[in-house]
Amino acid sequence: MRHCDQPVAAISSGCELFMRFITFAKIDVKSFEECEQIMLQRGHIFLNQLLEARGKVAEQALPFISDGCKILTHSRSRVVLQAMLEAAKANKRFQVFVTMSCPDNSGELMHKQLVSAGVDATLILDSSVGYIMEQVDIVMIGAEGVTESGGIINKIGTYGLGMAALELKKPVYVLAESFKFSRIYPLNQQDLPIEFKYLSSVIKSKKNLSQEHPLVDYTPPAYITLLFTDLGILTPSAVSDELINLYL
Amino acid sequence: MVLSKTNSEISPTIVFQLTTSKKRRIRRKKLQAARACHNNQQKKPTDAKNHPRENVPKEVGENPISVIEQIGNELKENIKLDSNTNNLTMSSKEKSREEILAAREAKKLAKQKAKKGEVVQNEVIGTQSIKDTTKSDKDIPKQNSDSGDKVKKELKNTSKDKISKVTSTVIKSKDEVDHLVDSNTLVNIGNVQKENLDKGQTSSEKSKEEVMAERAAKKAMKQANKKGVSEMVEVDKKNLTEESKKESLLKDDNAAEKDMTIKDVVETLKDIANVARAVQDVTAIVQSIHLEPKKQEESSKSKAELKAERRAKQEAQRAAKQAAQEQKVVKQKQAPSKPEKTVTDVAKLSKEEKPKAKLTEKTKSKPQYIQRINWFQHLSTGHEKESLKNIAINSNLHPAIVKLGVQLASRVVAGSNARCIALLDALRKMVTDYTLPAKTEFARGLESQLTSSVEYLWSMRQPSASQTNAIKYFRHNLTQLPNNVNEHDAKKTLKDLIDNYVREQIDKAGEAISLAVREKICNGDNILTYGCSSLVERILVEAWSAGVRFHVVVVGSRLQRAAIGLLRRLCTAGLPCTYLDITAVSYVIKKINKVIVGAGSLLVNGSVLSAAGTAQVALLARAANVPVLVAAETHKFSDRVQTDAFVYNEIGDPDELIDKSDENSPLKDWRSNPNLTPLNLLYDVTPPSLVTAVVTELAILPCTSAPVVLRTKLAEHGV
Repeated sequence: MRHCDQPVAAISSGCELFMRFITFAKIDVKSFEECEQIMLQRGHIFLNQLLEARGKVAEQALPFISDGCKILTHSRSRVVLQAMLEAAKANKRFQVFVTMSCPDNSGELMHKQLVSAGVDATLILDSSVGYIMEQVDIVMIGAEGVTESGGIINKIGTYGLGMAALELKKPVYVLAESFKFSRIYPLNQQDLPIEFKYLSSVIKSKKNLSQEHPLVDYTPPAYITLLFTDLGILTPSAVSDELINLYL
Repeated sequence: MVLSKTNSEISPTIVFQLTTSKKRRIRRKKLQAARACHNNQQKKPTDAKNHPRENVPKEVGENPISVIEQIGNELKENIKLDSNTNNLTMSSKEKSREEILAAREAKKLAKQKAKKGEVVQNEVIGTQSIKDTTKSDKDIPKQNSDSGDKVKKELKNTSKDKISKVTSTVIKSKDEVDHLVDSNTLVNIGNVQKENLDKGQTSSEKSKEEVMAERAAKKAMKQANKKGVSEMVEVDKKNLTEESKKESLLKDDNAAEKDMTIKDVVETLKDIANVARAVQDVTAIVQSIHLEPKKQEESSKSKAELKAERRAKQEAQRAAKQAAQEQKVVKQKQAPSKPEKTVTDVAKLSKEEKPKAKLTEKTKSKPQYIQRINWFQHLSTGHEKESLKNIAINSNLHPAIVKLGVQLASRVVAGSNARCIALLDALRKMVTDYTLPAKTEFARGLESQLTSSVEYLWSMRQPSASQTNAIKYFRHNLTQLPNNVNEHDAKKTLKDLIDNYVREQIDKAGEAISLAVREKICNGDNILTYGCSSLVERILVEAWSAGVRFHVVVVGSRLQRAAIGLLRRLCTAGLPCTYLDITAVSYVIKKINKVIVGAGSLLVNGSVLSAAGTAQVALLARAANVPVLVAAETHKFSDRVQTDAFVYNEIGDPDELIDKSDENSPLKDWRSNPNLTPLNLLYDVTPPSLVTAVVTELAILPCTSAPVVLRTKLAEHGV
């Protein structure tokens, strides 16, 4: 799966956690079939947990979307979408600004989905984030991966958005399920693993990577206010705590 | 008489500083001396009879040594007093002959008992003995020898002790004096050996006797004629010893050389006075130390314990020697007041219990310079040489522990990991050599031994977090031992425990950390490191040998000379290195890719306690957006919280701050300047906001996750 042409951060972390989860069961001296059965069972449990996770996260974020607030979001995140749809169902009035997020323009899809659900959404350019920041109340973004430092890996452009939010004192809320927690600890942008930044087809083609546009960037924990996860609402420094519980 | 003439010539040449109290005493004595002189002139014929000189023949047979002391007193008076004391001067010649006899006998006795090295105990009784002898001077002419049994004993002791004290710091005395002193000390040793048991009884008596002896001495002085040299009265005790030396000198040289010897004697007097002063100070301290071993003399001692005792005594003597050397220069001015103070202290100490004695020692021993700095009085210094000597050396300590203590205090063993390993090594030896006393459980007995060893070590140098955690772990496992465990098995278990700890927590952890950091070092990186950390060295060397190519910038400062050692070792391993002083870091930081430093300990709030200067480097890196990695094994995590470097720190040697290459350094004479105190703090605290990541063997963590690590450790080890 790491070699498919999709951003890989969530996949790798999810898979690793899956492996750990199913092998965590006590497998004493039993027959092979029984072991297989146990592992399958645990696999199902894991999968169910995953599917439910998104709902839990959206539920947690609901109180933070107040009546009449303006939300800025970046690119397309299904978790954020679910949270907003639930808020709309709860009859809250709010306005959303969605960035276009080149190169794949996934923001447009997000905008379309929001509008069809009856949410007041506006599509903005990536470059106008600084301009619009003073008008918004909160920033709500998803994540492709959550690092051990408490920072996030997300669609390119998130770092700039985080910096602008910090400068203008706007809270940044990250909505991410727990299977996205990864053990990597990037020290800076250069330190991100290459598999995350570029599509595997690009890496294989052995082009000069410094000429290629990376897909994701790393937002350090200093720019994040809170993380909403199915384990609870965490501060960035608590992520490491949870990670240790998950992995050790 | 020739002697008296020379005596009067000598007196003006001896110069001492006068305090107001001394002046008062001098005046008083002058008055009384004048009165006594008048009386003497009237009583001339009777004086000759009453003079101790005539009593001397009686006592030669009984107390050869006490005679010397008495003669000593007399001679002192002789030399300092006027020519009126013809009787006394005449007697000196006779006394010298008797002295020779006495000395010979003393030598014989001493040789018999020379094997028992109880010099220290001699010193203990020393101060008291001096007073006793002066008292005896008074007593013997007045009383009969019957009442003086005790007194004679004391005289013996005092004479021995006096001389033995001086013996221990004999360097300055001339050869002749040394010779006699040695023989006397040996005799003293012999006599003291006899009276070990009586010590308890005699100590309280001696304290009273000291006071009485003082009074007697004063009276004796008043009776004799003295002019101008009454300052010497204050330095009674030393003078007495000096006199005995003088006498020895005189005895060696006959009348023809008397002028010469007297001049020599004067010089040696001065030397001896200083030496004796120093000895007395040390005596006071040593006496309190030995209150404990005396009590424990009943218990059986293993070879190791005896060795430790001897070692401790050697070190005390060495310390005394050093003290004498230092104090001679420093304390000449304070000479008169000091001896009295130390005498009274000794009296107090002999009455007080051991812990109280230790307390007074500690407060006395606090280096003077640290009292100048108001804000840092709560910090331990540990480096002042005098305070090192004052630390009570328990004779029950294993020699490995004693050795480690000295190594720690003198900074031979430095660095968090090194200190931890050295501590565990010494503990291991202690466990191996530990012999179980009767009726004690192995765990309890060893625990008490451990407590006393640890107390000693921490007094030599404050523990690092790694050492504290190691001791906690060891103690925890020690208490977990089952009650009825076989001694051999228990020892084996403990030794294995220690080996495992070192192997896992230090060695394997270092390996894991090295691997983790290697992932972070890219080819072509410029890595900066500050100070000297064994872990950082390991990381860099192993990364290099694994094929990663990078450049290292080693940063040191005038106080972090260890950085130069690190530089040398890295160069030997083939790494391309640059060396910088910390003042130049802001210049190169823009070119640096990563900063890797070691840590002394990691605190619960995420702060890093490490060598002074690390916080500075971290701040510079932060300002330039350079990531800072702190490499620390989990055994360095401590459960303390600290926000600044003031509440807890360690003060190092202030002399290190002085630039040695600069001869005209304005800091050179800081001790004489009351407004100037160099402060050398060894640690500083780096706040978590300045640290990008902490690399442990568990994971690369943010600083704030330190409590998580502690929690997992607790779950794992129970400590």
